[in-house]
Amino acid sequence: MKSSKGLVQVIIAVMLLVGLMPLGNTLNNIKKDAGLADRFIQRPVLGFDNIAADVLWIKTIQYMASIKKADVKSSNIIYQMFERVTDLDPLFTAAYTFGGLAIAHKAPAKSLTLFDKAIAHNPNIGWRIPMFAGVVSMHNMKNYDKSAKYFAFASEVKDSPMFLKRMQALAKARAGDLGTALILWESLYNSSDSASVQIAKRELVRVAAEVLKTSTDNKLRNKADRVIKRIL
Amino acid sequence: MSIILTIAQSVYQKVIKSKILYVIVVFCLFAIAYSTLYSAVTAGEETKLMKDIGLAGIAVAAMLISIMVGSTAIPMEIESRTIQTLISKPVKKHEFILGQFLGAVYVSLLSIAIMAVGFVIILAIKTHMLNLVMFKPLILICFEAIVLVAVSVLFSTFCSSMVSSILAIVVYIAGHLSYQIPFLVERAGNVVTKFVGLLLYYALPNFQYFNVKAPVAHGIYVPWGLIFGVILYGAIYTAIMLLVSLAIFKNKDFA
Repeated sequence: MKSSKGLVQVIIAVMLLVGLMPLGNTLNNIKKDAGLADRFIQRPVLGFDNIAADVLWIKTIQYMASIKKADVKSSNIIYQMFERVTDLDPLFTAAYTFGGLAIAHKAPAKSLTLFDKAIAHNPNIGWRIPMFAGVVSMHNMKNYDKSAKYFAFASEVKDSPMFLKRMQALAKARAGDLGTALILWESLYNSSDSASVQIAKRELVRVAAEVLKTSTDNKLRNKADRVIKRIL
Repeated sequence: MSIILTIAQSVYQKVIKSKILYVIVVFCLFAIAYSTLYSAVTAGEETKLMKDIGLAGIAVAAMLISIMVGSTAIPMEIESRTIQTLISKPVKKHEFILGQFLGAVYVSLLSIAIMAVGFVIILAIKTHMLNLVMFKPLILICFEAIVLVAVSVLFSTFCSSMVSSILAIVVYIAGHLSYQIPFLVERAGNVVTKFVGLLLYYALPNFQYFNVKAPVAHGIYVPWGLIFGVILYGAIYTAIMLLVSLAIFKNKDFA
């Protein structure tokens, strides 16, 4: 009698365990939908990823403070440290910003790697980090196509400032894509932002003149001609 | 029911005299308060650091308290032979187990509540606002502690307090790493490995479900559906542990 009661309890326990399986899958789906899913590549810190990232963050700040003169070697070390911090805590946007900007001058490619990681892991990253990425691409790497993409991404974020569209247009012009630059500057000239209108007026004339001087595309030349006549 | 509550109260009164409980709680509160001094070295991230230290500290303290209380309640009764007196009276074995479990849970939850209130107050003083959203991870820490107490009670029905504490810690560690098993099982070569892997995955408690500290510290919304789902998971898993404990304890003879 005793053993049969015990057996019944075990059977009920096994049935409950089987019932946990669909519940576990449902919880995984809810986590995935809310953007909270666990990652396979994760340090085994038993759910204390954040605190491990914080300890490493403090250590990294201390290391940066100890550097007398920034060079490529120290920038690479700083990059590796911030890589580890952001591996542990991919939502730590301050680490991406701090790290990316700290190494932008001596290791711009690695700086962009950090910014790309921030954008990949944080759907609501805002406009600041893509803007920083655009600036690093433009000034440190002279990669104007890439910087235009970053500025375009940043300008599409809700409540982003107007100057990002101006930066995108500027980057397109420097990349040699004068047609797109003309379109972007024209849209800014037609906007309600007075600062953008003033700058757009000046840049439209400059880009249109560049088109008329260098371009062999008749369609583009006609457009540039219309723009100049409209503004002047 | 009154017998179960009486046994629970007796467990509470025994455990509350333990100095180590107070040391753990006080140390946790001290660590949370001390984290307010880190502002000089965190480059503007002191609030995040405070939240992380607070939640991690409470989680660790809750784990230690639950395992300590859950693993020692029953073996203490067995070693002191008071269990013979209890079981010989009209106290059924299932009432004994449930009473021990409830007493241990009460001590764990009381300790967590004290640490949680201290944490929220210290955070409110630092940030000048009441961060009620911190209660989401704290609720799940409470249920994680309940599951750990149940696991510890299960082991204590057939092991000494030392062995059951170690086994409970092993289950805690394995429970936090078990979410990786499905990834590994997918890549497994043979059917036996896959079967054993999946059996382990579902048999171990998946403590990663209870871990929402990171998104809450970053201000990311955690849906209430997830919280209630995890609470349900914890309740069912606790029931499973208690049923197996009862099945094992029923066959034990204390004469």
